[in-house]
Amino acid sequence: MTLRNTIVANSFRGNCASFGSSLVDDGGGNLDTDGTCVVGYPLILSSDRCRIRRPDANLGDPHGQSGIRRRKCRQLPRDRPAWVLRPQFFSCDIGAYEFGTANSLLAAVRNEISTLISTGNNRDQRILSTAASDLSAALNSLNCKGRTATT
Amino acid sequence: MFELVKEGVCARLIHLQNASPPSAIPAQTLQTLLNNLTLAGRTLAAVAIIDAAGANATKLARANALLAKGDVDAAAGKYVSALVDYEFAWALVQRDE
Repeated sequence: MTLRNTIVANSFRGNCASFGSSLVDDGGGNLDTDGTCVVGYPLILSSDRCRIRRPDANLGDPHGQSGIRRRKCRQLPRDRPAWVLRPQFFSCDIGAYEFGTANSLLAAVRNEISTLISTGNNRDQRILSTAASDLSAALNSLNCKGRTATT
Repeated sequence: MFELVKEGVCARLIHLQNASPPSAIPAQTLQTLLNNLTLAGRTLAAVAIIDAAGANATKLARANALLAKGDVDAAAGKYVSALVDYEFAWALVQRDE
């Protein structure tokens, strides 16, 4: 079986780690939750304990996309909802998905900042490290309230 | 929480955006981080308002107005101001719980 443009999540052996085996192969465009898909990007999915309040809030393309595909920015539909974080983060994509919680948003930003630290100059690294640290503290504060704000 | 996001993260990212000599981080990357940080604050406020459905109508109206003001600020690139608006909206309806 070959998977294309598919969300691959919570697989026992690692989401895309099993690609190339007799069970499943990678047809491209797949996204995962654990970073094992070579061609895709880590995807944050709402967990079972998250309350889904507005499942349509993150619909980037309501016209029958079964998965998420990377897409050139200039091809984005005009009616793409504003202020919605997409799973490709710095790239553009299409397809319906649920991002999850405000906690997830903040965690994603923190992770991106942490990734960027090594790419900056000394000043950048110092500032980004402090920002990531403060974001972790903000997340702890949010989690201590025992609430998850779901989009 | 909002304080850390505003002063600890948002203000620092804006500082990097305007830094001289320029940051080695691409401007578009910093912009995306700011957008998503602001979106997280908006999400918190919006969900708190939804959670407070049935609460004092005047407070809900004020909270919704603050949410809208935050959207205007964010669209104008005033990210710290937007987060302040979202924080006030969030705090307003928190008191009703």
